[in-house]
Amino acid sequence: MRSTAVNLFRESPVTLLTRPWKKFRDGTLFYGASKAGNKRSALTTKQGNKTMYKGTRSSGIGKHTRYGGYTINWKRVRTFVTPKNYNTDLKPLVSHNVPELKHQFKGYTKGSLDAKLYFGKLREYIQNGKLPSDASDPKCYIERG
Amino acid sequence: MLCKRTFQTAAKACARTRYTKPKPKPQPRERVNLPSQRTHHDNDLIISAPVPPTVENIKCPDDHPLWQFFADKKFMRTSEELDSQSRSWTIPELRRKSFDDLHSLWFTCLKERNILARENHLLKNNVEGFQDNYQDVSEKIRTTMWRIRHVLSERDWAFKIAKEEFASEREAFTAVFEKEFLEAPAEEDEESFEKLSRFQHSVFGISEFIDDNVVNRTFVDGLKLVANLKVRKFASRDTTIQKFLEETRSQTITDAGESFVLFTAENNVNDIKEACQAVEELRKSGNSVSKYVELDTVAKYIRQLAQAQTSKETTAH
Repeated sequence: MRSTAVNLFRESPVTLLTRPWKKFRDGTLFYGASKAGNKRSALTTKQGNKTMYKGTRSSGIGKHTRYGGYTINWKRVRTFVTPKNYNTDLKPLVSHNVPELKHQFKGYTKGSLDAKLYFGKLREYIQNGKLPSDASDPKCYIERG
Repeated sequence: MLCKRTFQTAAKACARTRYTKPKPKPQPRERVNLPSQRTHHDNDLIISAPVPPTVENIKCPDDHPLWQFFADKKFMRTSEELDSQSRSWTIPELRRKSFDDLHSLWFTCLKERNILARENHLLKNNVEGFQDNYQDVSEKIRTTMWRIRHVLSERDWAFKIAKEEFASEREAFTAVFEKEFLEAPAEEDEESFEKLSRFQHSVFGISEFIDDNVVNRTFVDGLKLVANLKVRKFASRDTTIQKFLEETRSQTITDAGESFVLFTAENNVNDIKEACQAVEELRKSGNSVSKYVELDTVAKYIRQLAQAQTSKETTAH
């Protein structure tokens, strides 16, 4: 029997590549999610049954051509409509010091969907035009709705 | 036979006894796959000193669109810089906003979430952090976003429901308005006509701007109602208008052409009087619009009016 070459026990780029069980210094494997048969790792696209879809549903935007190119169908591309009058003063969150505004809908059984409320608002609009409502005053925290 | 030793080609040329007609050139192909590399730099390549990969060699303009994925052009915000105390917008607060405002807010939220997602990804993958700061703020913004959609859908449903119920409510609604409008004293004319314009816009969709109007059944009905209201408003102040009103059948104007003349008249006694005279002339000459062609006729009038207005504007300028 031939003895194993000493070089094989020394750490070199080549030995690292040929010894996949060897971990990197930070503990991650050279390949694979885990060395032991861990079944809780995330599935890949090739796993699962026929209903399993792994993707972001963000592709499928066009067609492959015969010549290896790809034509994009712009109707299928996701677009975000920018606001016409972009009001940059509005921030995504409100200060926690501001108490939350409440809508009461007193006397309107269906709340904000009540047609009576809608007609009332319409009558007010015809009478007075566009007027700032009660809650335009920062001290008002309870409004009719 | 003794063969002369020659080149191979010469021998072949000798061997050819008959002239063969050369084939015609092939047509140029329509779809040719071009070679992937169409230029070569065999002669013009120069060896220069290697460019060290440092940050100084990378130049980025200040208005680069990818800066939208950074907050204040920072790699990552620290937990102090991140506003983790603020709350999301509530539904009542959003109900008070216009569509444009809600759209802007939604867009701002989307951009902010993009920034947070980038920072969160860096934190989890590159920095090996385990905090959920960015995720928590992102979730709050997500709440704002679904609330915006909720408010928009609520608004739409409220409009649909109100539209359905308005069919039965319309008569009472208009009756109340008519009573108020006709009983208002002469001093409040300006206000009451402003109310009338808001009323016709909200109930019949008759806009002050002529180009915006779409002529349909409700529009023509509104036109007639407004014409009647105008005549009745001024009938008590002027005898000619009073006489005109008494002469019309059952004291209501039902002809679309007549209504249009009165509708376009200015809101004062003299103009209405002139319009009444014009209508009387129309009646004498036997010009009346049949109810079957009402819509087309009114649409034609509206178009003419819009054209007249645009030509007036262009001459004024």
